[in-house]
Amino acid sequence: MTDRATSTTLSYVLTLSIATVLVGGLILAGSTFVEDQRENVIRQEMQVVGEHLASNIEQVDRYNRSADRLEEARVSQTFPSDVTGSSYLVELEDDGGQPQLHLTSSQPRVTVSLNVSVSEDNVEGSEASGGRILARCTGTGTDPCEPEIDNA
Amino acid sequence: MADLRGSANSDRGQILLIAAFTLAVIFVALALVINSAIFTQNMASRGEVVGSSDALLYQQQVEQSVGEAIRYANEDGSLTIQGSISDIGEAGGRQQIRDGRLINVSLASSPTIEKRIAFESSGDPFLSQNGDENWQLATDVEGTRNFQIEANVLASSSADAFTIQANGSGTAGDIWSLSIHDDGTDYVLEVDPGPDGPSSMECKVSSGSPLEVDVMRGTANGHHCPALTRDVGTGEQMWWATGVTASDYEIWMKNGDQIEGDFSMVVDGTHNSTNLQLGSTVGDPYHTDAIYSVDVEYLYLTPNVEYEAEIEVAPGETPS
Repeated sequence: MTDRATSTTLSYVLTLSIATVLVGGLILAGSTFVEDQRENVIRQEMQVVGEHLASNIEQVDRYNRSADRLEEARVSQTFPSDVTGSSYLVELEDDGGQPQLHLTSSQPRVTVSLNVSVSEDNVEGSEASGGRILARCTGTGTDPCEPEIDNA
Repeated sequence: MADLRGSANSDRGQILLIAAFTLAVIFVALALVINSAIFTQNMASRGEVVGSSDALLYQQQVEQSVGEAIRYANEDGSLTIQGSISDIGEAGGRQQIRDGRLINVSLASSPTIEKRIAFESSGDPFLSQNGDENWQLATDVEGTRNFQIEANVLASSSADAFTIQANGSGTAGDIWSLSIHDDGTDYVLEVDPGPDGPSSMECKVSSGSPLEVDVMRGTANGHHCPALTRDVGTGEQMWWATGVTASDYEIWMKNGDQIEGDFSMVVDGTHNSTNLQLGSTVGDPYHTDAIYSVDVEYLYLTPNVEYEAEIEVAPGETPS
């Protein structure tokens, strides 16, 4: 007497669809959370890499200022070749008076920018990919040298 | 309602199974992200590249050593510095190679030779070789180094105090001067920096022992003399010849009969051959060749740092 106006198919369909919706929602929330965290970590890691690289560039500039005639100044450091699974590109550019370092990761696309302070406020526009990056300044004899970055 | 009493159907909970697998993959991805975050923290706490600031510290040591070698070569009159620089490079190189650093110090070009003007008597006044008490030491001077005065006897009033002057060539009155006298209790050093500088200042050092003045370093008997360096209140510069507007100057001594002792300086100008004799002979002030500055090739190399440069070592100059 308890099974009037019931349908087995309908109850299965209802149960399964509710379960699917709940589980699907849980997975969606989980993967969105992981994506967000990954983006945060990528941003932080590139910030740290950028700061180390900026201090290397400033050290090379200090070498330039201490020498009466610089021939070659170079500081190399090994950075991780990818940040949380995504490769990244580092660009050093002049930006009209304020030298800046831009780090861009490929997937997801995150960009971090930092200011670099060098004495002449002039840098050679250059880029390098993640890995062993060097900051270099080659003396030209009379003109103050302009720091640049490159892959070692 | 669904039939919950067990049947032979064994494919219940498929969705839960798939969901569990998917969540497991998500947790693994989360673990990788956390691993990256921990690595980032570790990287953030690292210091600078090993050896990068040591390159500059060691450069300072090299400059000091070479400066001492120049002073010694000038004092014993040999004017040879090649041997000393090789020794500096070799000794430093051997020490640094133990830490995995390659250092190379060598002479970049021949040392710049200029004139040393000096007087060593300890008991005679500063008169020219003709006996004048107001006389010119050098002309067309652009830089003076290592100027030291030792005095046993001085005038007692500032009116006829012994004065050393840097006279700018061209304009009258373009003069930096230092006057020294003994007022009974103290030695008084009065500096008038010239038209392009602040007003004159003086400093005092207690008398009792002979006075030793290092004009370039700005010390009198080891004590710092602000009148020779910088005005303490305003911070304005009082260094040798800072107030002289002309690009080159003459060096004069006035009232040379009011001081007895020694002096020595190195100048890059033309010495006055009438008033100075060539080569040191006791009795008269003389001129002789001296090393003025040296260009040194300096290399510092480690696996991560390379610094190769030419540095000029010129001991005993004023900071400018």
